[in-house]
Amino acid sequence: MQESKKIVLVTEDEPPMLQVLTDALSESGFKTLQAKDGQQGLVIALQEHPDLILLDILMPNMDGLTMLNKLREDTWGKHVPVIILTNVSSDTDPVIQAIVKNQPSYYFVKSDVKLEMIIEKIKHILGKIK
Amino acid sequence: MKWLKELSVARKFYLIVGLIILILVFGLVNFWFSMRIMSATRAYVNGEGLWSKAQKEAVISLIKYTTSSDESEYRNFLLYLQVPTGDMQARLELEKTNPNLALVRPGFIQGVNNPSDVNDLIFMYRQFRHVSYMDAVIQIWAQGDQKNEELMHVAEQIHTIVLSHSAKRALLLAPLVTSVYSLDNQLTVLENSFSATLGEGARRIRDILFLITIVLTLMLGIIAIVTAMSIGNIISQVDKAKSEFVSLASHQLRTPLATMNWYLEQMMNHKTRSGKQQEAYVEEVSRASKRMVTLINTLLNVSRLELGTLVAAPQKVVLPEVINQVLEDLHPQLLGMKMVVEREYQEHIPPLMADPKLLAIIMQNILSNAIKYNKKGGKIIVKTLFIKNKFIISITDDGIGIPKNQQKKIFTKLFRADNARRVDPEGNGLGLYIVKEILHVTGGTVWFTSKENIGTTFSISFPRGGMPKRMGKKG
Repeated sequence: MQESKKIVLVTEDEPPMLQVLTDALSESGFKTLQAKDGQQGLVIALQEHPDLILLDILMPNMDGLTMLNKLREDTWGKHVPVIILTNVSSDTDPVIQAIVKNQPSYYFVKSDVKLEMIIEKIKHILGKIK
Repeated sequence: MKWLKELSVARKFYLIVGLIILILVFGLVNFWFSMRIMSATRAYVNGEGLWSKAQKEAVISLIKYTTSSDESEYRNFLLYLQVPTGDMQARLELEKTNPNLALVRPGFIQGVNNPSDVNDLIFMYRQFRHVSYMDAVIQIWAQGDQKNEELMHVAEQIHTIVLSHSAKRALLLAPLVTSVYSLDNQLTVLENSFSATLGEGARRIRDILFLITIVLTLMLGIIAIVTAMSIGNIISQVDKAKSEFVSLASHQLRTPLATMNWYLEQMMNHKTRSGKQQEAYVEEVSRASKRMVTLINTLLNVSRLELGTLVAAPQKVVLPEVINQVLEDLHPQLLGMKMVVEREYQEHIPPLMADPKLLAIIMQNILSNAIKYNKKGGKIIVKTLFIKNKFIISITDDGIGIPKNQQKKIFTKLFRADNARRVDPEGNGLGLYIVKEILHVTGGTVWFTSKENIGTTFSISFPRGGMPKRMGKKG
């Protein structure tokens, strides 16, 4: 039985970052959706119901944490796994709190993580949920 | 007191050291003055003692003379009276508007005052003549001299009677002797009053000088404390600036760094890519790398501005050329936002003396704001003018504008207006701060007018002479 490809929504406001994440995910066999800010991300997520969401924190229009909170208010949105990509430093505490509050969620520091580690993690999470 | 804050660290130090030196000098002058006054007061007390003793001895001699008729006693009387007479001569000369000190000194010497005290006696008299207690003392002295004259007068009468060898001598002398005693008593009262008043005045001066010394010590103490706090403040400010810098730098550099790393990772993994895709990836790495360089330069400039080490090397620049170059560099952003630029460069503007790098930084910051905080298809108008001996550059956009209640803070370091944050959450809030600070140290000015959602016009002006040459430490 052929498994349909898993769908990952990448929400990131920096175009080059959005592009390279999307490319890497496609090459690893995932279907990808793109969003340039929290507002767009929320709309697409609730519409398309991706299997996992990659979420940037600092975005215009609606930031990542606000989008995450709103997402969790939705019946479907409550359970979708989210990986937060952050630059840490000053946004550590609210990020950590949000992650703890909004399970299931994980986080990576962008400059400290390799693409392959992110993809490993995604496969791991989606592997557990079958 | 705002100028106090804006002084550089070095100037603040000179100010504090200057204040301390001033207070020390004041203290030394206070000390010298106090010593002089105390010394002069002692000299007057001394002088009074000699005056009184001489006067008493004179009266004793005179009384002896009335019974002994010994001419040597009369001569003694006259000799003793020379002492107060000498002092009187000095006093009368000092009362004149321009006293002849050559007449004053021998007077005091005749008064048996120590020659090294004479200067102090003169100093006190001339400087403090009209001060309350000195004035009172001199009045008493004058009265004493008056009494001595009367005594002299009585003594002459006695002398005449004694020399006449009259038979009724005793009878004639009796009332005169009574006068002598009476005058002597009056003189005793005056002498006591002189001492008491002098003593009271001296005590009051001592208290005043003591008060002055305490005040000076307190002032010195306060300045010392303020200095210590100031230094502590400066140190913690520098520390704070340093850690802010490190925090800002590392935070802001993470994004282009992560981009570079991921693109390189993609290029290095073994999937085959088209030449076009490889090219695109290399392009992104290059862009990210440039962003980091720009960011580091921005942060270094901020640091230089804060430490006062910014270097300006002015040369003759043609304003339109510099602005066009900056617009050229910003071409990708202009294209991305589909923006239109209108240039209105006044003809025949003289060249401006300016550091082209600093000018470019200023223009680049303002122009990139005009592009970034705007909608697609917006318009930017750039003008250059030379009017009333000033160079003016203005940049007008039809972008999001600056909200009225945030306009005051727009040049503050790290400040981002709310509507700007919504457009670009990751801006560093340093651009306009840098513009303002660079202009501040190079003799230019910047101002703006803005209306939210309508647009903004930033204007920069330089005087005819342009930027002065500015040497800073390499920093």
